[in-house]
Amino acid sequence: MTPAPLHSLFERLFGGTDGAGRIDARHTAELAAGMEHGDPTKGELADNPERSTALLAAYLDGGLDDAAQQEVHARLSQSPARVHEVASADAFLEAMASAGATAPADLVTAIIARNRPATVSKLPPRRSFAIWKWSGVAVAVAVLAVLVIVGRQSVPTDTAVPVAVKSVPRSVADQMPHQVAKPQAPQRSSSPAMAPATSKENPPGQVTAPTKPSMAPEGFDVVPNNPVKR
Amino acid sequence: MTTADDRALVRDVLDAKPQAWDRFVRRVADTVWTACRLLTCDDAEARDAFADVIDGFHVDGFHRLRQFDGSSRIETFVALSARDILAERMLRLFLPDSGVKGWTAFERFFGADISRIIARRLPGVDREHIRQDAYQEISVALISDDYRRLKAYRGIGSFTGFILHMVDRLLIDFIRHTMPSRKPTVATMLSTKPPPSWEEFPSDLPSPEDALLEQEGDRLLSMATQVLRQAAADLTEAERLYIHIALGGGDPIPAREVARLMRRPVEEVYKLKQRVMDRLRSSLDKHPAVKTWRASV
Repeated sequence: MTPAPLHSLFERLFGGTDGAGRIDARHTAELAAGMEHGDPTKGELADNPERSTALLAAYLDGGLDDAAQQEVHARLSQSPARVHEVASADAFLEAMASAGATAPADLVTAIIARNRPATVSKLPPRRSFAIWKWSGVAVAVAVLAVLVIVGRQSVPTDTAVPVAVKSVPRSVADQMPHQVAKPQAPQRSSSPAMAPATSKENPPGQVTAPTKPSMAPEGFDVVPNNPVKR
Repeated sequence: MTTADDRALVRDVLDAKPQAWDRFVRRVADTVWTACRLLTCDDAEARDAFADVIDGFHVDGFHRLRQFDGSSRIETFVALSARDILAERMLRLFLPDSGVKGWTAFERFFGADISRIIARRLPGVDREHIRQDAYQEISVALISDDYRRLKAYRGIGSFTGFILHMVDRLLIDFIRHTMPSRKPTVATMLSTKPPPSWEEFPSDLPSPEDALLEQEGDRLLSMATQVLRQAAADLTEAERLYIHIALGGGDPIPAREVARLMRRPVEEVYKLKQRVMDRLRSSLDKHPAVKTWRASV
């Protein structure tokens, strides 16, 4: 056994210059098969299988740093199946670049309408935490406000005791007689106004005067204690 | 749009910002559509496939989209993701009674890859007939027993890698049984030399001389495999990868093609070649069979 034939074989296989002569197909086929060990189809390009496609895209786009690229080389060197996968993806991207087609507009519109998210999808944890935090503050403020109001309006438990009136609503007209116009009965129109059959408005000629000014605020503690002086 | 813009767009989609999903679909629509047209048989199927791919990005809270980190162009990421989704879709066609439909989809998906692998292992214009035979034989093997080989995929590792590796193994088997080392090639059969006389026609049975040469050839291959495996253990990952790539072809693979697959500069690949050859020479010299021969002379 002389090393010459093997030297020659290796020289042609691995050291051959571009355009060198053909190699015996059977030799390379046998050597390729002989180099395999384990299950060459198992395993992913990335530790996390879900990252494999993103990693492959980054590898093919030259977006990996040296360390990450070496990691990919290491994985490829362990599995001919992955080398095939990379070569296939590379060829596919090349075919994509030369085929470049425009998506039908009607199809795109229909798909957008169909997939439009109806609800907010899962949010990142930080944002989610912020929402909960501020929601909690809002709830606390609301509860506090309710307690204050209830405290001020506390109803006596003894129903026999009459409810003490803390404040009586007073009309703005009473407080600021110069600033609020007094109610007047609307003038009768010479021509009857049209009203729908189902209208609850008073029919013409039967207008009743409001019992109090519509501008008067209701409730308590809304009237300023010190009316604006002119 | 820049990659940073695309990354921001994907982030907006994940954050469910108003209109972000619409903008994303419009941004990737042409890429997805091109992938669908390439990997499906006709326009009607491509439209269905398009909807499936977009759904594939949308489901499980944009699960696939979350993997995009801006380290590639969005077109590349979307094209490869679309291919994955369409591969899964195609797998569903291999149900009982899928019949011709399943195979048609398979061939549309992998036909170009199968042809590329065959062309690399069996290069040359004179081998066109052998390549066609190889394609037929591989197809028959994949279809046989109700797609037994395809159905053997258990979801571990890449489906594309699984299929293409299987295709390569079937091709190697084809080469082994149709192209023994000493058998005349189609090139010699198709040569323009005058036909041989009846006495000169080779017999189907190997002559004792041929049998010896084939035996010697097998021994040589076995030795080469041992030396290679031994040497590979001491090689760097990049050097080992170079060997894998080089063993995928019937012609020495041009350095620029190796560089393309490895995403390294061509000059680096030339240096890599040199280092690999030095290591192999060294391993060869240390091999027991060679040492024995040296001692005997």
